[in-house]
Amino acid sequence: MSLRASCAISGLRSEPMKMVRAVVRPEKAEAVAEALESENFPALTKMDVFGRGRQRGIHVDGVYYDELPKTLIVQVVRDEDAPKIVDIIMKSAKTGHFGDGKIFVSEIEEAYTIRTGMKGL
Amino acid sequence: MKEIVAIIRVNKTQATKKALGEIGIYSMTICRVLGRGKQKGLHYEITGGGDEEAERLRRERIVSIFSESFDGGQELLSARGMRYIPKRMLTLAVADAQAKGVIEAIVRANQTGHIGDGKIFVSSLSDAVRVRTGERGEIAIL
Repeated sequence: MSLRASCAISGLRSEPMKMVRAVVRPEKAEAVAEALESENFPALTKMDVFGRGRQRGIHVDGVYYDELPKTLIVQVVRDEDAPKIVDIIMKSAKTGHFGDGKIFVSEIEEAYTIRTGMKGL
Repeated sequence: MKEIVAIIRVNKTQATKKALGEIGIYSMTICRVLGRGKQKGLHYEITGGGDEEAERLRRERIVSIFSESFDGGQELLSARGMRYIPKRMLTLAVADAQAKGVIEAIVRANQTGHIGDGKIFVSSLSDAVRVRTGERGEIAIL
């Protein structure tokens, strides 16, 4: 492997980061992505998931939907940007009804950019 | 224990699995995801002043590359470009001592030097459980 890449991985301290995972309504995913992009946080990963909350799904016309389609949006950002991201997602995804979703924030110790082989976002 | 999340190109999945297999890492979870980086996806907007034929050919090449590689590809193509790019997300749970080797293997298998190679995120796992036996901790992921 390249010398540059092996130096980058050798254990230098990097800045602290957070992974923000937001489960949102699929129809709100575009609005959330656009709101994040307009505040200069365009990088994200999204996936279609199914889920349920404490309400255990919904009951419509005699049919019980116990897993509902949602979109999971994942972003890794610097620690100081995380509260802003949470705020942006909260505002753009909220409708006020059950099923709006949740946001989870966890610690990321290291991040690597594969194109350069270097540590960091 | 560490959780390693790697977002990589779709067509590098087999090479990555092979590289990890060579260092003895076989367990992983792979998801199909959509993503974008700082470049905000692919752009093939026709700029007007330039070579329209070249722009059209470029757009068709991008459309044909991506519209077959995943379900619902057509919906993602807008007039201006592709807002999200299909990727694969690998999630691995490894012992602390294995993390460095795993990261190096993933970078080696995926690095092309072009935009879109992907990212790797490392975080701490507070616990892991093997459901079959109920084992917890590092022994559950070995």
